[in-house]
Amino acid sequence: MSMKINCSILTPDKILYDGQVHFAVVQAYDGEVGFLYNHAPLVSELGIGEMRLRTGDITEYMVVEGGFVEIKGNNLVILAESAYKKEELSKETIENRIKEIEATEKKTYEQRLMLDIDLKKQKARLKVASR
Amino acid sequence: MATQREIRKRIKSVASTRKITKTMEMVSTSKMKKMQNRMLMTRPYSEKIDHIIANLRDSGVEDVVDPLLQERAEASRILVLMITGNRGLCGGFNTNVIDNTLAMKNRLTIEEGKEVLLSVIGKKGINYLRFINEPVYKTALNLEDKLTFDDAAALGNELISLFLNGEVDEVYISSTRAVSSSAQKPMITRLLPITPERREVEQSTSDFHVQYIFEPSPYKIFSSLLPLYIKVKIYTSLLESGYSEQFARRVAMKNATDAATEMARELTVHYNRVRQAKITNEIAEIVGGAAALE
Repeated sequence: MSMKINCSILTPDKILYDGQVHFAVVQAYDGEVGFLYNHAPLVSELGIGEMRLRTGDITEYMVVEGGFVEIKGNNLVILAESAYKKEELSKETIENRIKEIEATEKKTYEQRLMLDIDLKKQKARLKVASR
Repeated sequence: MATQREIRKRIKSVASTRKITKTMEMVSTSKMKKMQNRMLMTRPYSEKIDHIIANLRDSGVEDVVDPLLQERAEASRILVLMITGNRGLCGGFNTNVIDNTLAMKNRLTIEEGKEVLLSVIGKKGINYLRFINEPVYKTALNLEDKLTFDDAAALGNELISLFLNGEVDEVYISSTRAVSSSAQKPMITRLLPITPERREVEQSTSDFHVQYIFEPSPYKIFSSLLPLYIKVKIYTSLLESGYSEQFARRVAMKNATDAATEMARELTVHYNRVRQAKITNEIAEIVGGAAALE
């Protein structure tokens, strides 16, 4: 018997993932949320972090950077502001970017805020890329 | 009457023009297909956002006052974001949008005494407004196929902060919308403050019994969903405008190619007639000369 949920991950540019999974974990605004078969209807805001989709013994890793998640009747929809699969990420470019950010002088408050968010995103990407 | 050589030259030039327009038609056809694909990729995303907003409304967020939803009683400064193309040779695509925008601006400034700021995207729009000496608030090039969601998001953030700071009271988008895959129309829609879309009501009745858990509160989700909604709106407007531009160019180039084909045909007929007349003339001369000798 299959206890799978239909999972689709949408970004404004494309459909990143569309398929059936046993178990999905996404990064919500204040921590991780896991979804199993027959989850109650829920809408939640997403944070910056990792997503894991497990089907059988295979786990796929992705990174999500803000957005929303909705589940209803075993249909899980993730509306990401941006999201990448593990294969799309290159560890080297991310590490370079992190160094670059850390080396940049933060002058104004806004600039610091922007860079902090960027750094958070890069770190999340790095985590997924090193899986 | 044109000589044979002149006509031949014209046929040649028409044929080479035809070759160019034919190629341009093919180029814009392939660009159009690409744009159409991107447009279709965005559609599920924006539909889902509409859907979530509808669900939030059902759970009683209706009466929430988000600054992005709030109408200003005395809207005096209005920003119009006009989206045109970077290039011409696409029939009435650019002029339609510009005419539409200027007509609205005139109506608002003269009849209602409001101040209208124009923010223009696309070289054609910028150049035209400069030509007629129309002051422009801000300009940017149309990124065409290099457009990413991040660009649209940056633009969205800028407009949102202008609106929230009270620098402008209303924001409109004037662009070409793709009504269907074969019909485009220049349209002006209001972006800010957000007008609640009523069409969701019928759809939401079917889901009415579903009670969602909202994490964090529905109000918080609502207020962080709205900026995303704006950004997606801008993004789709830009994509639709890009698609319409390629579509308009394809049609214009198709007409040009057809006209060139017809012209080449007429010229060839004319050329043959001139050639035949010349031969007849020569024979008549020879016959005449021979008759004179006898």
